[in-house]
Amino acid sequence: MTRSKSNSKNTTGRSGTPFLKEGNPKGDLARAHKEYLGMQVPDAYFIHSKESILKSIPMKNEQERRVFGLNRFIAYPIAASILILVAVAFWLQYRGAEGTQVQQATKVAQGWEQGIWEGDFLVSAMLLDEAEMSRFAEDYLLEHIVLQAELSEQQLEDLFINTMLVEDSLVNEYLDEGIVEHIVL
Amino acid sequence: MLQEADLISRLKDPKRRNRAFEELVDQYQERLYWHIRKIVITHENANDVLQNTFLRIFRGIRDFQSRSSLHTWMYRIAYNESIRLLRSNKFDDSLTSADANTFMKTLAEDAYFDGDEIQYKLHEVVSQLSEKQRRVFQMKYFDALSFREISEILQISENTLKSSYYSAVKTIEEKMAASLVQTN
Repeated sequence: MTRSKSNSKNTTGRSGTPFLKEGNPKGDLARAHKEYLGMQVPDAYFIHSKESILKSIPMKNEQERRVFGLNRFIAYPIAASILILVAVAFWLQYRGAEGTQVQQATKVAQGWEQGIWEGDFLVSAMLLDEAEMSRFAEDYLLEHIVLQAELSEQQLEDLFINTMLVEDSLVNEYLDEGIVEHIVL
Repeated sequence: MLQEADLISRLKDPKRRNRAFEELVDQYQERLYWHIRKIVITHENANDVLQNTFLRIFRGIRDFQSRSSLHTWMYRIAYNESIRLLRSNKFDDSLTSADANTFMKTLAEDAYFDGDEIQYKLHEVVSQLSEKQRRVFQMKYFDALSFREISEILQISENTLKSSYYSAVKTIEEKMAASLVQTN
């Protein structure tokens, strides 16, 4: 590569400064780099560069993150207050629910007795899914009818067996007594 | 020294950090820029490396232990960032002659290089020096850093640096003189 510049035939740079001199090129860095190394920067580069550096640095985020970190004396009481409020809210809700559950059950029972809920029950039954309804019916049938029928049958069998046994023992007793009375005596 | 200690304490204080960082950028951006520019050569690359350097400084300042001066700590970051960029551009730390040619081509193509033939030749001669000689020469001669500071940045003993520097200067003078004789 050929580079033809005005001062190519002497040992000095553009401003008449030799390419190397004793000691260091003190003073203005930009001037030294320009004179000795031919390096330039765009106009007002360092002003724009500073803005660009400050923009690229997450200063704002750091500040935001610091708010709680810095004010521990404020942050901890606030956190504690929130916790207490949440705990109190839960406690009140639970306490209220416990009282009303009993009241609600009583109301429902009274309603059924008076036939108040019958209409509601029928309307909700209409809105129910058919499959759900049949599942409910099956469960109900199994629990209340089949089981009860089984139990009743069991009871009848027990009764029958008991009766048979009692009758048998009575006949035997009668026969024994008859034999003793009529034959032996 | 007191000023630097004060700046460090402000940089570590979250309340005063932003303002202190602005001051830091004001004080050091130009020095760091030229330090980086001589290593990465082009303005575009130097600009990128400078941004990354300040970002690393900002992130690392909280952990800065004051084992070295703030000044040398920042130069070390800038130096490491520059070397990282060179490696990402597939340049080795110690340039081979083929690398040196590519390096010079890059310099010639840089829009912000308008050196004359002597300045171009100086870059060429410097690029042919060994890695150690090149760095110590640039830092001592152009950045005006002391041997102690360079030693902290490059983690090389001062005596080795001194000998590298003087042999670098001698080589440059000889090669430049020979080149000028040829031109004449």
